[in-house]
Amino acid sequence: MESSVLNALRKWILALVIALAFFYGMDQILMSAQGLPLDWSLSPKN
Amino acid sequence: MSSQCKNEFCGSAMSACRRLLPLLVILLIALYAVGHSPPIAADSHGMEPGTAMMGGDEAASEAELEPAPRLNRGDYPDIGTSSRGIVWVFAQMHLFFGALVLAVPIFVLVIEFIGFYTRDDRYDDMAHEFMKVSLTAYAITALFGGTLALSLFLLYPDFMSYMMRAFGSQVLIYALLFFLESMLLYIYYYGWDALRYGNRKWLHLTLGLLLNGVGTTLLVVANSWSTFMMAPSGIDPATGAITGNLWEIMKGPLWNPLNLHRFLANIAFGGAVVGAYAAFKFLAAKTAAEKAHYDWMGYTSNFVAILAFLPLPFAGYWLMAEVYAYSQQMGILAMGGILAWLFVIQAVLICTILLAANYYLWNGMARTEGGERYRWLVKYIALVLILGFLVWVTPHNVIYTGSELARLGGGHHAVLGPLGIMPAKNIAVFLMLVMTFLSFQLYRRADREITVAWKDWGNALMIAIYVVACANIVFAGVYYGYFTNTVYKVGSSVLQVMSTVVVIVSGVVIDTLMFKGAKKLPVYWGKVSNRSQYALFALPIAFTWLMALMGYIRSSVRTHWHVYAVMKDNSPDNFIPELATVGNMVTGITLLFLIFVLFIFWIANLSGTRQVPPATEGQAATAGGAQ
Repeated sequence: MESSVLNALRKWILALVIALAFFYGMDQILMSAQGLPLDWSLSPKN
Repeated sequence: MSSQCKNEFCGSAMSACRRLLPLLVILLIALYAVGHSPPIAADSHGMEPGTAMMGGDEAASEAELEPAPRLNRGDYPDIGTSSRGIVWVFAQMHLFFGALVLAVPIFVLVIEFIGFYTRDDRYDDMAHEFMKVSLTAYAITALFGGTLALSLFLLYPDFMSYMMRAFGSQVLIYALLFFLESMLLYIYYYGWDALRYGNRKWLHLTLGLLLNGVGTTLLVVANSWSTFMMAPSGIDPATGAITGNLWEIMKGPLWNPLNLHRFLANIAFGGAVVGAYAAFKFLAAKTAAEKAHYDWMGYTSNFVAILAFLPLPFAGYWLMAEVYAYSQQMGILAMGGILAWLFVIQAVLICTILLAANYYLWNGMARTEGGERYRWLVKYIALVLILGFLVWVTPHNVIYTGSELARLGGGHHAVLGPLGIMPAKNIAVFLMLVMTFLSFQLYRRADREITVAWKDWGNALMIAIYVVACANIVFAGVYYGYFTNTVYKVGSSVLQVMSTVVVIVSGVVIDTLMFKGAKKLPVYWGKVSNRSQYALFALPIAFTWLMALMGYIRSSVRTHWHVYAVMKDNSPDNFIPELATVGNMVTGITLLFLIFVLFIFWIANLSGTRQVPPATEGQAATAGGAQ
């Protein structure tokens, strides 16, 4: 695979990982703030 | 002074008198109201009229502890027709015009400032023209306000005396603010050219700021009357006696949610109405320059309307959450009882607004060659919007016959049933908002070629945010909405709200940073299809209808109470009318407003029309004959 394609792929994957991590953290924080804690798999804790 | 000057002076004076007349009427009503209310409280205690105001703390306190009146049918004047119907029409018309005249100066001030900052006279001229539309509507606002006040005092005298007892001198302050608003408005508009450059412009901008300060104060003061009726505060809940001071009465639990909701909705509504004016002028334009000017004006109006409209669902969410928190019964009536049916119509209207706004943006991409790059995305955005629309309008249940129920195998359709409840609606609404922002973002990017070194990173991050945010909206709606308990279902809507907000905020931030040093592509204003202008007409029609409908729902949740749970409505109209009646009333009022809007456009257009002097006409005819 050409290096430019690999570079682009690396950028997309990293951007996706950053976005996923951000929204995952946001979901955890917002639900906890409402007294609705979630476990690591985003399912209700209780 | 020449006779001509005298005539001009008399004309101006007459014109000023005509404009001030409605304001005088309102002030007189307010004076009457303030002067009228205390004796009612005093009389019932067997005191001389006025002693409640003058007889010291004890008398005042006794008057204040007067319970809310308990009315019977005979306490309401019978004029042979529905009093509620009359008040409904005047209140709604006043609110429409009030929204327009309070909202337009807000974005006019921003546009004027942009013009001043960028030293571009086109902004200044456009802002001035927007004000012309608003100014024509101002006198009509005051006239409807005065008529509404007179109708209320005539048809609901005891209710109004209770309201006057609660708000007292505040109504007089309201009237004085109205005077101040009028003066500032006229100075702001007529002083535009006299205060156009240099330090004088700062003075003009300050006047605009003061005008908006007074206008917004008027809005929040009037809102306190509505929210007091829905969720009264500063009173004894058992008797309705006034126990708190004016501030305690004003700051009820629904006041700020309504303030925010109306503030945003007014701007969206005002933007939509002046957008229709621009479309009207665009279609009537004879020259390319005129077309370019009104195309730009229409684009700016649409920009304002959509910018204010995007956060509106969040403000509405806050308002309804506070309604539920104040009274679950009230909330359930609005969203789960008879009034819930009207939310299906609301869905149709909001989808109309979103489709029209998106359609206008897609058409607008034709103004620049750069728009071609994004055209392939339009069909996918349209698909999401249409699917969202279909989900949103799917009702949860319909009244079936026995045989229909048997064929269906239950009260709900197996496939469509799950689409009728809130989780599905929330997914639809938030995806539609995200897609509308995408159209808006593509439109903004259409006339630019981004040159920053990190543009690939920026684009990758932006697309990743869109993808993950949409996935999060769907995940939160489906998983928490259908597979967990109700508390999690309700709580997960916050995730959907925030996912949408993250897309909007990150889109604005990333684009602002990426546009630095971007190559600007030429924009051909006026090179837009006539069809797009009809989308600008659709916007105010749908907005007006929506405001009339939702205003009715907000007011109707009080059911048979003038002031919720405190002062009963025992008039012949103390019931929620059938939906057909509501539909007819709301539609009739919308049509009436649109007729007035056409009148305003015509007047605004007339003021710029100059008749050719008779001599020139004669010369032209002669020249024509000679040829």
